[in-house]
Amino acid sequence: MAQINKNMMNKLLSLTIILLIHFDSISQNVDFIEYDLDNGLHVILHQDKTVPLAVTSVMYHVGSKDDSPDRTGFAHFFEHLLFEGTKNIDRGQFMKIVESNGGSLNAYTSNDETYYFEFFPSNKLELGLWLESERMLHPVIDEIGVQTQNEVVKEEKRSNYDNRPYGQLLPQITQSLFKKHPYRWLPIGSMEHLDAATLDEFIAYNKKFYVPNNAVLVVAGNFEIDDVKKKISDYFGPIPRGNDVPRINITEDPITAEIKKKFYDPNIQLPMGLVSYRIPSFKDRDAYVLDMISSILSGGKSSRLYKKMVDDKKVSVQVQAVNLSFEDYGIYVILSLPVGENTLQTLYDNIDEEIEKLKVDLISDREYEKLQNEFENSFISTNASMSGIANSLASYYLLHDNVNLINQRLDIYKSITKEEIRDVANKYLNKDSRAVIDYLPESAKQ
Amino acid sequence: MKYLKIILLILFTVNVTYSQIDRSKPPKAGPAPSIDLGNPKSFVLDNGLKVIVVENNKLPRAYANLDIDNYPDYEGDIKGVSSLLGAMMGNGTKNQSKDSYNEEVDYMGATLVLSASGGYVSSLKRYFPRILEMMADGLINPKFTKEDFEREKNVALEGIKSIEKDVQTIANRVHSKLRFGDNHPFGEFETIESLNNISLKDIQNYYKKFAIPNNAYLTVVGDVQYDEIKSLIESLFGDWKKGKKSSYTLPQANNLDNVEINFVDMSNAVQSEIYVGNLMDISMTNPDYFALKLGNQILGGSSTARLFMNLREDKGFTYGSYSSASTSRFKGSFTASASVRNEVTDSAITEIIKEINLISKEGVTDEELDAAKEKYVGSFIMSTEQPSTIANFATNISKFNLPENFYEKYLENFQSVTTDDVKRVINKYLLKDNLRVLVVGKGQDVLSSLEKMPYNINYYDKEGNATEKPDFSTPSGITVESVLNNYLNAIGGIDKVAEINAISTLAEAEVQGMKLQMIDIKAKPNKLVMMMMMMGNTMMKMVFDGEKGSLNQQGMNNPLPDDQVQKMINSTLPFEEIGWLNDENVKFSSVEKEDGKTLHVLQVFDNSFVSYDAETGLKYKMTELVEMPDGSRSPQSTYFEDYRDVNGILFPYVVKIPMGPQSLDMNVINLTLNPEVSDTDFIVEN
Repeated sequence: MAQINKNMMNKLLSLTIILLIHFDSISQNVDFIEYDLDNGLHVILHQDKTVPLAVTSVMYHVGSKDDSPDRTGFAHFFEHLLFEGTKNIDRGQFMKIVESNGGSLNAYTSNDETYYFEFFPSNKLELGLWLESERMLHPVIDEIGVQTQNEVVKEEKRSNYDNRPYGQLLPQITQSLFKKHPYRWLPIGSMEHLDAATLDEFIAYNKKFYVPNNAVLVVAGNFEIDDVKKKISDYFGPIPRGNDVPRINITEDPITAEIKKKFYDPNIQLPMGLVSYRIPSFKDRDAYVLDMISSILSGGKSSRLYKKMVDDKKVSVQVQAVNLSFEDYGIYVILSLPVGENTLQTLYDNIDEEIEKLKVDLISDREYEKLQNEFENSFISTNASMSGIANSLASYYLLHDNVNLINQRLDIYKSITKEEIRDVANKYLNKDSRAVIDYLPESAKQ
Repeated sequence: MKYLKIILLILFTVNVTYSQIDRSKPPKAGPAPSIDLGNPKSFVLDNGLKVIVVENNKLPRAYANLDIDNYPDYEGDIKGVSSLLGAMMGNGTKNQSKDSYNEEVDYMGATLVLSASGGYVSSLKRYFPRILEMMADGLINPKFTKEDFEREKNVALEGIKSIEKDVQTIANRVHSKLRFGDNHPFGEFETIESLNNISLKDIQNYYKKFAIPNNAYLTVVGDVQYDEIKSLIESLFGDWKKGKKSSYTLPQANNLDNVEINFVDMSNAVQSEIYVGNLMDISMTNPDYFALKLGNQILGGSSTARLFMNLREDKGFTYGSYSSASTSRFKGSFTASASVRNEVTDSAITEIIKEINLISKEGVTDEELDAAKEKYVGSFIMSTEQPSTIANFATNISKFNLPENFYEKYLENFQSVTTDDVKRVINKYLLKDNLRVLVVGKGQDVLSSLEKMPYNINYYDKEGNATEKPDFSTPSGITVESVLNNYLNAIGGIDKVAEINAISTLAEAEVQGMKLQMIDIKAKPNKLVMMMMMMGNTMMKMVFDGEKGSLNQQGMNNPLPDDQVQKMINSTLPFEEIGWLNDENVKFSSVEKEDGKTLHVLQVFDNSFVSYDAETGLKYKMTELVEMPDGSRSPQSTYFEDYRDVNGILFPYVVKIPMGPQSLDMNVINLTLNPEVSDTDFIVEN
C-alpha cells in the first residue's frame, strides 16, 4: 500500500478509536452554587437529596509552604490546636460532640492547604456549621493546648516518620529537589522549631491566616438551599474579615546536573532506589500528562516497568511511578525495590531504558486506549461520595482556581495526545535535571 | 474625614442583619432523615450460588463481589495452602494466557482479584459484562503452573522470614493460637515447615474441594439492568460445579478458669503488646447483640471511650487503647488491647482489668449509652449513602440467617437497649474472672514487675508453644573476670596471648557482586590501622596512633570523634580482653539465649556489649547500640565464627555483619602474628 494511504488508514483508525471511547457519556454532572459572603468567605453548595447525610468542610489557603523557615511545622501544628476547643466548646468536647451526634470528623494539613470536615446525618447539618464557624471565629489558643499538642505531634512524628520503614524517603526527595522553595520541608516540620515557638506567635498566626477571606466553605449533601444559605449567613457572616493574606512567590533555579545521594535508614532491610524529578504545578497541563506517564510506566500488571522489572526480568520486588503535585511545583518519583542481589544501579538502568523509549516512540493505540479507560474509571470514583465531592470542590476552587474541574477534569486527560506524552517525557524526565537517591539500610554503612 | 469614615463603617455594618443565634451551645437537630434500604433483587442458581443485585445508575460503573462462604476448614500440616492458592488465581486461565489476561484487565481500567474464598471485580459500565466473564473464567478454569507455584511459595517463605522480629505480628498470631488452640482453624498459622509441605497437587485438591458454589454469594452493584445481568450470570456461572459438603466440625475452644498472664519474650521489643480478653458464644441472631455492641462501644470503641480516656488521655501510657466484641456464627471473642512502653506494662494491664471490672460491676451511665446509640444510629444512616451497603445487608441476612426485617428494625433495636440490658450483657459475655492476658514484650524489662501481679504466669515462645520461664538472673560464680579468663583460655591461654605484639589481617567479602578487601593491623599498646578497599580503590581508612586518630572515607578526611578517641585510648590491642580484665567500667550485663546458645554478655562501654558463648568461652558477637534521630537506640551486631588455630591461638576466620536479610561476610584470607610494624604504619593524616 502506498505510504500516503497507510498514513490515512492510521489516522482514520485513531479517529475511530477516539470516537468509540467517547461512547459512554458521563451522565453525572456535579451541580453546585457558589457565592461570597461580605467578609470574603467563599461558599460552595452541592445539593443531593438522594443521600441521608451532609458534609460541612472548610479549606484554608495555608499550608506548610507558608511556614517560616525557622518555624517549620506551624501549619500542621495549628491544625492540631484547632481541636483544642473554642470560646463555647470546652477542651475535649469537640470530638465528643461529633461522636455523640452520630457524626465523623477529620482534618489534614498539606503543603498548600489545611482542610477540616465533619459529616452527620442530614438533620444535624447545622451542628457542622456551628462547629466550623466556632473554630474560625474564636478558637482557644492557650498554653495548655500548645503543650499538650506539642507532645502529641512529637509522637506522631516518631510513629509516622522516625520509627517507620522508609519514613525518611519523602524528606530526602524534597531536600534534594528544592533548595529555595518551602516545599523542601514537610508539613510535620521540626520539633526544635515547635519547641521554640511562643504563644504569641500562634496567636498571630491565627490572626494572619485563619480568616474568612482566606477560606472556602463547602456544604455537600441533603439540605434545602435557602435554609442552608440563611444558616451560613447567621453562623459565618459575623466573622470579621481579616487582612489580605500574603502569598509566597519563590522560584527555584533549574537543576542542571544529576544529584546523587545516599541515605541510611535503620528501620529497613531492603534498599530502595528513588529517581526523582521536579515538575510543574498541578495547574499546568504538563502535570496531567505526567499523570498519564505514571500510568504507562507502572499502572497495573501490564505496565511497562512492572512487566519488565517485576514479571519478566524479576529484578524488582516492586516498582512505582508517582506524581505528587502541588500548587507551585510537583515531584515525580519512580521508586523501586530490588530482588535479592540485584543492585540499585540495575534498577536505574532498566528505568532509564523505559524512559528513553517513551521519549523516542509514541505509545501504541492500545496503550492509549488503556489510559483513556483508566482515567475515566478514576474520575468517576472521585465523585462517588459527598465527602469526596466536598474536598474536590474546595480544592479546585482554592488551589486550582477552577471549580469547574470537578466536571471537566476528565476532558483534559482525554484531550492529551500521544505526541504530548512523548514531548513531556522529553521535557522533564532528563538525567541531568533529577535527583537519584540510594535509600539504604543503616547496616549497609561501611 | 476619618470621623466620617468611621460613622459610615458603623452604618454599613449595622445594615447587614444576622439572626440571633445562640452560639453558646450546640444547635438542635431536626427530625432524623428517612432511610431508604433500597430494593435488592436476588435469585439462586441450580448449583447453589446466591446472587443479589442492586441496581444503581448514579454513576456509570459496577462491581461484583464473590464470597465463598465455606465452613471453616483446618489445613494442619499444609497450613498456607489456601493463601498460596489465592496468590495463584486471577492470573490467567486455561482459555487465556496470563499476559493476555492481565493486559486485558488493565486495558479496561478494571480491577480483578480472586482467591479460593472469593473475589472482586469492578469496571466502567461498558466493560462490566467482560470483566464478569473474566472473573468467571478465572474462577472456574484456573491454570496452576509449576512455575507460578514455585514463585509464590518462595514469596510466602520470604514473608515468614521477614516477620521474625515483628513484635506486633507475632503477638497477633500467638494470641489466636493460644485462645483457639492450634488444632482450630482460627488458631493455626503458616510456618516454614507447613509451607514446605505443600505440593502443587495439594493446591489443585484444595481448589477442587473449596472453590465451590454451594455456599457462595455473588453481589452485583451498580449501573446494571436486572434481567440482562441475570441471564449473563446464569450463562457465566451456571457451569460452576457444585462440590461436596465437608464433614469437618470445629473443635471446642475454651476459656481459662482464672485470670492468667501468658508471656512471650522478645528481646527486641521496645513496646509491650497487650491483649486482654475471652471467647464468647454469640452471633448476630442473638437478641443480646445490640446491648453487647453498645457496651463495647462505651468501654473501648473509640477515642472518647473509657479505655482510651484512661490509658492515653489520663495516664499517657499509649497512643491508643481500644476493645472489640466480635460476634460469630462459630466462636466470638472479646479483646481489649494496647501497645505500651515497657516500663508501664504492668500498670497498663492493671488499668485494663480495672476498667473491665468497673463496667461489669457498675454498668454504664445514661449519658454514655445515649452517646453510643447516637454513634450507631449516625453511622448506620450515613452508610446508606453507598449502594454497596444495601447489597451487604441483603447478603448478611442470608448468610447469617437474620430475620428478613433485621435492618428495618436495626435502629429501633439499638434505641430500645437500657442500661440494665448493657450491664447484664457485659457480665454475661465479658468474663472478668476468666481473662487471658497475653503480653509480648521484653522480658528483661518487664517480667519482674509482672511477677508482682496477683496472677499466674505461663510462658510461651514466638510460635505459641509452651516454654520455660526465661532466666535473666546472673548465675552465681559468673563474673567479668571469669568470662574474660574463659575466653582467653579458650583461645590459647593468657601467656601465649601476651606474647603477641601485633596482628595483621587480610579479609575479603563480596558486596552486591563486587569484592571488598579489608586490611587491618592492630599493635600494642592500642594502635590501629584499618582499610577497606574495593577494586583497588581505598574506600575507607581509619588510623589511631595511640593518642589521636583519623577517618578517611572516599576522599574526605576527618579526625576521629572524641568519644571514639576516648574508647581507643582506653583499649588494649591487639587483645581488648586483656585491658578489660583490669577495667572497672566493664560490667556483667546479662545472660541471654540466641540461636540455641547461652551467652554471657558484658557491657564494655556505654553502648557496647560483647557476648561470649557460655559453653566454649569463645567470643560470639559484639553489639553496638546506635543512637537514632528520635532518641531511641538500635542494636548493630558483629558475629565471630569459624575459629581456627594460628600458632596456638584461636582466631575467628569469619566475621559476619547482618544487613537485614543479607549479611556482609568477611572471610579471613591471611592472618599474621607479630608482623614487622613501625610507627609509620600508624601516621594520622591531617
